[in-house]
Amino acid sequence: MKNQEEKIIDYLYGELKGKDLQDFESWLMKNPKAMEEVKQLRDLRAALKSIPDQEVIVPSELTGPSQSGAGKGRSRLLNGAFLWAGAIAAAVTLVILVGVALGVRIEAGGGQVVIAFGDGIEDSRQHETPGDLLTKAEMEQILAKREDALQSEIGNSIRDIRKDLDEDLNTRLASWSSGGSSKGISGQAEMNKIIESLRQELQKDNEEYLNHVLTEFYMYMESQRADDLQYYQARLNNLEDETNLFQYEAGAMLTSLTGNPVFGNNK
Amino acid sequence: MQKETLLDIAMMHADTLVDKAREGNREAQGRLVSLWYKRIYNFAWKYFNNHDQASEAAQLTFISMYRNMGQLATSSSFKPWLYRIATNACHEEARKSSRLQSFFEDPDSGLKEEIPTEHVGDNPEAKYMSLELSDQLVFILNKLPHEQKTVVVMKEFEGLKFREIAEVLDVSENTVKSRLYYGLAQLKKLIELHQIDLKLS
Repeated sequence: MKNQEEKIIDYLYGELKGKDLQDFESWLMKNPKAMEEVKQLRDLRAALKSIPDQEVIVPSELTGPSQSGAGKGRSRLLNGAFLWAGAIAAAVTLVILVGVALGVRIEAGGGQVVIAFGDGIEDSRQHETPGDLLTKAEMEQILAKREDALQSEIGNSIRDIRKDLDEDLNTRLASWSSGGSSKGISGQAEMNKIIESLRQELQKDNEEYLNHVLTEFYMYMESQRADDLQYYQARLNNLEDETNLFQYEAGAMLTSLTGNPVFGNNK
Repeated sequence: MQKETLLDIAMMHADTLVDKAREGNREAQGRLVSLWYKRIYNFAWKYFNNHDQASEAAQLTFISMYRNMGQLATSSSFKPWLYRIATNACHEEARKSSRLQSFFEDPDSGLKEEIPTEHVGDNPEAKYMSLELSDQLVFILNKLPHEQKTVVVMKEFEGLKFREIAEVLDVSENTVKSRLYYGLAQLKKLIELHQIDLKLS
C-alpha cells in the first residue's frame, strides 16, 4: 500500500483514478488536517505557476551553420558586433582607397560638409537637399559609377603603359637596326618576338590583376548581401521556433487540462 | 479516427527532427537546439536563479548533446535524455560555484543562514514588498536541497511525467514522488517563514 505522501502527490497531480480516487477523497473528508495540507499544496502549486519563463536568445554558436548563417570554421569573434565592425571598417577602407585613386574633394559650408571623389561635386549637390539620406538605389548607382570610373582609369593606365613601352621599344629597335647587318636583321626579328611575348605577358598580368581586384570586390559585396540575408533568416527561424514551442506548450497545456480528473469532476 | 492534437503534430515533428539529428544531420541538430534551448535555460535558471550560471549550464547541455547524439537509443527517449544531461550540467555548475563560494562563506552554514540578511530583517514583509512574488518564489525554490529542487522544477515547470523524472534521475517513481512531496512541504515552510503572501498570485 502506498504511503500517505505518495497518495497526496498522486491526488494533486491527477494520478488517482476510479475507486482509488473515491477512497482518497472520502478519507480526506474525514481528515481535516490532511484536507488543509492538500489545499495549501494546491495553492502553492498555483503560485508556482505564476513564475514566468525567462526570455532568452539562442546563442548562434549552438544552432550550427545552417541555422545561424555563420560560415564553416568562422570563429566566435567573427559573429555579431565583430562581424559588423569588420564589415564597416572594410567598407570605409574601400571607399578611402577609391577616393585616393580618383582624387578626393572635401568642401565645407552652408551647414554641411561634402566629401566627393573626382569631379561632380556640383552635380551631386543638385540632386541632394541638405540632410537627405542616400537610398539603396542611389548608393548602388554611385558605386556602379565609381566602379566604371575605376575600370576606365585602370584601362587608361594600361593603354598609357603599353603606348610608352611601344614607343620606347620602337626607338631602341630603330637605333639598333640603323647599324644593321644580315645577322642584325635576324637578331632584330628574334628580339621583336621576345618583346612581343613580354608585352603580351605584361598585358595578361595587368588584366589578371584587374580581374582579381574586381572579383574580390564583387565577392565582398555578395558576401555582405548573403550575411544580411542570413541574419534575417536566422531572426525568422527564431520566430518560427518560438511559435512552434508556443504551439507545443499550448498543446501540452490543453492535454494536461483535459487529462486532469479535477477538471473532469468540475464538469 | 482520432483527431490529431497540436501536441501530436509537434511530437511527430520533434521525433522526425530527433531521428535526423541522430543520423548526424547538423541542420536538424541546430533546430533541436533552437526548439529546446529556452526550456533548458529556464530549467537551469530556476535551478540557480542566476542568468550566468543558467546560460553556462544550458550551453554545456547542448554541447554535450551534439557530442553524444549518436548514443541516443530511440527518438522517444530524447526528452528525458536531454534533461538528464541538463541535470548533470546543473550539478556540475553548482559544484563549481560552491567551490568558489567556500572561499568566502562558512561551509557549515545552514539553510536559514544562507538567506541574505536584507530579506529577513526586522520587518521581512516590508522588505519583500519591493520584490515580485515570482522573484520571491524562485528565491526560496533555490534554497531547497538539490534533489528536491530538481524534482520540483522538472514536475512543476517542465511538465515531465513521474516516469520520465525517474528515468532522468535513475531512481524509482516512488522516490520521485517522495522527493516532490518533501520539496513542496519545505517550500511551504519557507513561505511561512518569510511571510510570503501567495494570494498575490
